[in-house]
Amino acid sequence: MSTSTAVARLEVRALRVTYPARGGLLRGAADISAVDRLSLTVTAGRTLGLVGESGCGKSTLARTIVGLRRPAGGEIWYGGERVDDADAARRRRLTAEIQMVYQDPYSSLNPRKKVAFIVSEGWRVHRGLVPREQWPARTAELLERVGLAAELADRYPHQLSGGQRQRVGIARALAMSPRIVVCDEPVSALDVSIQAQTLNLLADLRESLGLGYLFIAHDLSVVRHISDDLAVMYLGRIVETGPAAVVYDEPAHPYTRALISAAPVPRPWAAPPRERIVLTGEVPSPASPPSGCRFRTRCRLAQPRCAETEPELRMVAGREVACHYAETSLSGAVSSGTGGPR
Amino acid sequence: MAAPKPLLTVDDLVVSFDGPLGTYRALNGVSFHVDEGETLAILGESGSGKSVTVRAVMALLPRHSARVEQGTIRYAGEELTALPVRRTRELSSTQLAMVFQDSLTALNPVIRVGEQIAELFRVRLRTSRREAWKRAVAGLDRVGIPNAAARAHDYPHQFSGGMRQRVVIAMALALGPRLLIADEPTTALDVTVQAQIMDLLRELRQADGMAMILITHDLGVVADVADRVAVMYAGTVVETGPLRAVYDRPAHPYTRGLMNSIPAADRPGARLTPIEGMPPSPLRTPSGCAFHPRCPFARANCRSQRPAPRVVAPGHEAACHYAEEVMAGVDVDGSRAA
Repeated sequence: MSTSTAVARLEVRALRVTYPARGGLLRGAADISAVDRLSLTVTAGRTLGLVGESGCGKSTLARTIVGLRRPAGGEIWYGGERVDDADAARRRRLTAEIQMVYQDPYSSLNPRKKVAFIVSEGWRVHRGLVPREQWPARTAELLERVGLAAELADRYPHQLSGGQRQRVGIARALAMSPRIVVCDEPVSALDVSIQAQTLNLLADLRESLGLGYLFIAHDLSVVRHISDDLAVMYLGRIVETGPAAVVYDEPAHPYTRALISAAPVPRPWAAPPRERIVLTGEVPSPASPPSGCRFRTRCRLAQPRCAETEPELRMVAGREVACHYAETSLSGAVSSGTGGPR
Repeated sequence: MAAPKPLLTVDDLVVSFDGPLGTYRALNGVSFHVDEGETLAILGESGSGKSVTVRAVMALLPRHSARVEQGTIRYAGEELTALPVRRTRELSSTQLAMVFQDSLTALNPVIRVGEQIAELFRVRLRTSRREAWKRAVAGLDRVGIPNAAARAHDYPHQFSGGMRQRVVIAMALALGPRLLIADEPTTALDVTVQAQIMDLLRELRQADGMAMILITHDLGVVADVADRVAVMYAGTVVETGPLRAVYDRPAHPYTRGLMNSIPAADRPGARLTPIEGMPPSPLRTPSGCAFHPRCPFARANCRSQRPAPRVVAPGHEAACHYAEEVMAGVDVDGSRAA
């Protein structure tokens, strides 16, 4: 593998992904930015957790990284080569090493193909990766690696449970011998007990194969569990990023604080007392993001300045945060009536 | 303090369905009760029978494929299974109310939301058109919909997910129910909106002294609002008890397994302890205790004898032959012996 000697890195630089605004009142309007000037790095052997609410652009970002969407701006680099403007052949070679595990284990597997076909499909495209006579043995090996009996190779997806299907999805990604795996909500469709099995499997694979994960989820306890680093997205932009322990335990951005405080804790009486911030309103439409700071319409620290200048990411107390008042937010010196411990 | 009165009592409920692969029991002897003014959370994974249970209470089971084989459902002294569906529906529209997971399909897309609520007052209380509309607007206002008088004229698709769930709650509360059944009311919502809706439900419940059954698979949501918990597995209630007793000292191995499955905030990255295997298909429920193939405590009699629920501590019941052992061996705090 071309990059196996150095530590594989996926770098996203100032990425912009847009959707055309069409129809109705929006006709002729500018494109909608789902992802805007977003940068992040995923390193082999580590997990970057990405959290944010629906519509913040997490899935668009994931799909762009694996090449399912074209960016409108910015660059994607992998192993010292630029991926997003590569020609088809080079791109194919590069993207084999960046694989994706999808959220929905029901719709992401072809219902008319057997497990063996689904797992080996990448080898049909990337010829020469695995010689054909080795396919059955390699498929059995992959199924075993993800904790499935080799006999399941002969089954169709509908004959499997949700947890088993998700394992097939993971085996399919591993078939390409990836270094980086983009996991888009890989456990959110699974029941709690099956979720734990899958999280353990992902952790084992990271360990044994040295994989790097971009782990996208909305469940903060899951993300905190598996991540080394965290990035928080709001309306297409990263508002805070840094080591998971720093961002999760001492969030500096008012949105991160609200997000973490809103997530229900399984045993609140055993956890340290937390501030409780209930945001008002919902996420504005990405078609017309607020001027300046995109979070200001729901922020209890917002000042006139926030409507005028968009804050850029800057280093504050060991993490990067995009807020003019991150220091104030971090000190928790908030006199607003919505806060305070319950 | 006077002993609380049970408002709803479900006893040994068995419901079977005719499916394409044969008849199966979705509920296999479900028993629980809800007291006046309390919140009971029914916790369980998909297919455990949570939704079937409350649909049986509301007489909302599909008429042709589902049958209540045995058991009783008593609401405020009245036996619901003995009543004609019509009378249950009447009760269930005035005294019992339900909020569904998916607010988009719970509302009629071509009728203004104000009218959908006003209709309840006109049909059930025979109020005038004008009065019904006024009350509908007041109801929308109460659940925190800004500018309710104007928004009442809007159609469901003009509301965001969170606002639409508020509309559904306003509709459920319209006739002042004594028991609100909320079936995964926040599962489709984002975390910050979920917090808004759970706060709203809590406030409304306290203001009205209404009882609530909350169905969810989210252990955190349960911990946030419930007084008591009932844990379901494979069509039966395996454990019931006060929230903290069930969470801190689970007496059923399945509950214990659930508690160990969730990532602990204080030990990020630590290996999780999942429940081995997967839930059984309702077509092939294991003999004896349905949990025995996945249970680390199982012995020979678990395969042959189905454990009946029994009291393990005040107000705390579990259906396990070895509940005492489970309670003694558990330390969900994480200081479990290696």
